[in-house]
Amino acid sequence: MIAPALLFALLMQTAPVQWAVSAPAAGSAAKAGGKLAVTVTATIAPGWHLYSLKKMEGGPIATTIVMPEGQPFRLAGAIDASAPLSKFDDTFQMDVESYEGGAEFVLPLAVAKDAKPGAAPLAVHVRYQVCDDKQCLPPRTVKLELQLAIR
Amino acid sequence: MRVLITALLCAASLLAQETSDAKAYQAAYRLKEPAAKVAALDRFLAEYPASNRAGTARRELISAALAVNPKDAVRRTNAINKTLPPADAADLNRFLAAELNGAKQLPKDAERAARLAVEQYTWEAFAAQAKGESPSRSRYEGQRARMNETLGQALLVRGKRAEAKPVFLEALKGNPSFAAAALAVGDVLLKEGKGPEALAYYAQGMLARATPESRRKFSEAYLKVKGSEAGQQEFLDERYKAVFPSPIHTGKYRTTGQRSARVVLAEVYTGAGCGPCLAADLSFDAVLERYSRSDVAVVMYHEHIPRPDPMSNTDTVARWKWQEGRGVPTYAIDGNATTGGGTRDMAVDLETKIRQTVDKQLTAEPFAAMKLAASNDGRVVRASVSVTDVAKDSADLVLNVLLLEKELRYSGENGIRFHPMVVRSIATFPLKGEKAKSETHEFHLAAVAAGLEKHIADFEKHDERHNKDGKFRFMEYKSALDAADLAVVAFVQDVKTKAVLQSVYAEAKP
Repeated sequence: MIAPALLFALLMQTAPVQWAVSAPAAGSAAKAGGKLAVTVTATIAPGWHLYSLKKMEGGPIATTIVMPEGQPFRLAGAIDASAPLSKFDDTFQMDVESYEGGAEFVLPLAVAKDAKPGAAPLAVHVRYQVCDDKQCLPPRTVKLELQLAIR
Repeated sequence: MRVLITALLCAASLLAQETSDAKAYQAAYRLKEPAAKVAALDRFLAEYPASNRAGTARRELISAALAVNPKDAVRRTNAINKTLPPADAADLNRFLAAELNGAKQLPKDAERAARLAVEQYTWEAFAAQAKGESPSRSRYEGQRARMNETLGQALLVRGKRAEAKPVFLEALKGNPSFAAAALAVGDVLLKEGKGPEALAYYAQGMLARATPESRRKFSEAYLKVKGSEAGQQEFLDERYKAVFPSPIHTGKYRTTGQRSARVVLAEVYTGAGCGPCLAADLSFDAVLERYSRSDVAVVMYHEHIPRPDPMSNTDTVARWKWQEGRGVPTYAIDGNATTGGGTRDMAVDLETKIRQTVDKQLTAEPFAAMKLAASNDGRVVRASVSVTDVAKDSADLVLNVLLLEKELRYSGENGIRFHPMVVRSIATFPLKGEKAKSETHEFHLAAVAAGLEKHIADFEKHDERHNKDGKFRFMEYKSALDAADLAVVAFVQDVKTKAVLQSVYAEAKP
């Protein structure tokens, strides 16, 4: 049996960013027509840079977080992101905003007024791309899900 | 499943272990009201002066203070700087000046702060900041160039054009790839009525880091100065060679007594929008210089990583998938793959490593014999390959035949202009356990070019990774094939182990 810590290290090897989405209380219920916030967290392997939400012309690919359509939740305001580090990037020859170690993105959500009570899976898609000093990985999209309830 | 959940909990607990300074900083950063943010960041800096977020916090504090009262932001910068070592003080002064320049506020204070930054950012100050690590001269020059560029911008805001020019030139001396400084010199010279000189700097800025804006500036200046677009590319070629010479200087390879009959295959996965690919691209330019094509065949697969690359095509994208590569640049010498490049400065060390691998591989016996003849009538490149003496028993061997364009000119985001041995099409034939095989493949150039164009056009309509909304546009299409500049590479490879048995290169001259 592989130890969890080892598995986690292996996960970080293959994908230097691990993503998760959480609500203040797991399984917490939201009211139809109400509001709630969920948090998307990124755990970033040492040496890697995850780029901020800010688009940088000619620079690395910014992280984007979108809510796919067809669910009773929608983004209801600006994403509250962790403070990125702003550094001059030698490879891109420009100031670049990035995260090292980890990042949090708080998503303010609105619940549809006509949402039916019961279990409601929340879907969040994160498109991101990472580089370290020697390589850039292909952009990826992760599809996160969280089980919520509507009362 | 349980183990996976535990592993994810490990990730969460790592986040939970976030240090108290990080938490305090996040809390202060998240405040929306500028005055409250200033107060919170003040408290953070007082409580955690040695935090590794202190530098970012100071900049964030000044940014918030500027929103409240610019004069107060200047006062605060001066007060904070009294407590900082010179390199950190220079950094904060530069930041203040850049913010004031951007907002066109307090121009005198911006100039003063920028001048102080340049004065404070000495080699000694930079070296002291290195904290035990060996300080890098080129990194220092690069950072100092930023200080000068900000000072130049401050002088421009104050209308001191004549003073700004030498400051921008000083920045370019430290870092010729500093596109913003080059474009600023171009602007100054154009306003002075020195069009031809301005053009040279616009070219430098565009070549250093091509963006739609830098391309537009150069093209407009070129048309104004030259009266037409004729000769634009040649002008850029000359400027590129003059300003961005390769840092790698190796002699020609000399055959040793141990040289085998192997032709080494170097496959490079790269991207014109990939910063760290710079070192690998320059290294393989040097490989092409050092070795003859009867020693080493180099093929470059362009990929849309991390940014879209107009030299990518359906075959190179499929090849990357087959390679199961992790990131770009990745290079495979006779099938043995390594990932990693770096900045221009890192190219010399990388080339040394690659040269050692190639030299060793040149003494390894091949596991097949190959002959290749390529004809080209301007419409069709016909590649006739014969493989004999296959010395591996494997049902997984294939013959790959690649059509290459020997040189493409394209200035992308990473500053490389000349792209050698660009793979345009790939044909694959299974050997099915045969010990010898002859194959003739025709590359119909119009069809290949149409396929290249379709790939790029389709990408502009939609790409799952880069262009979900269909709004992305390439700066340039590179779909046209120059029939007079083609070559063919063929190699036998085990698709399971990825080992390359033998390779061969031939020109496809019309």
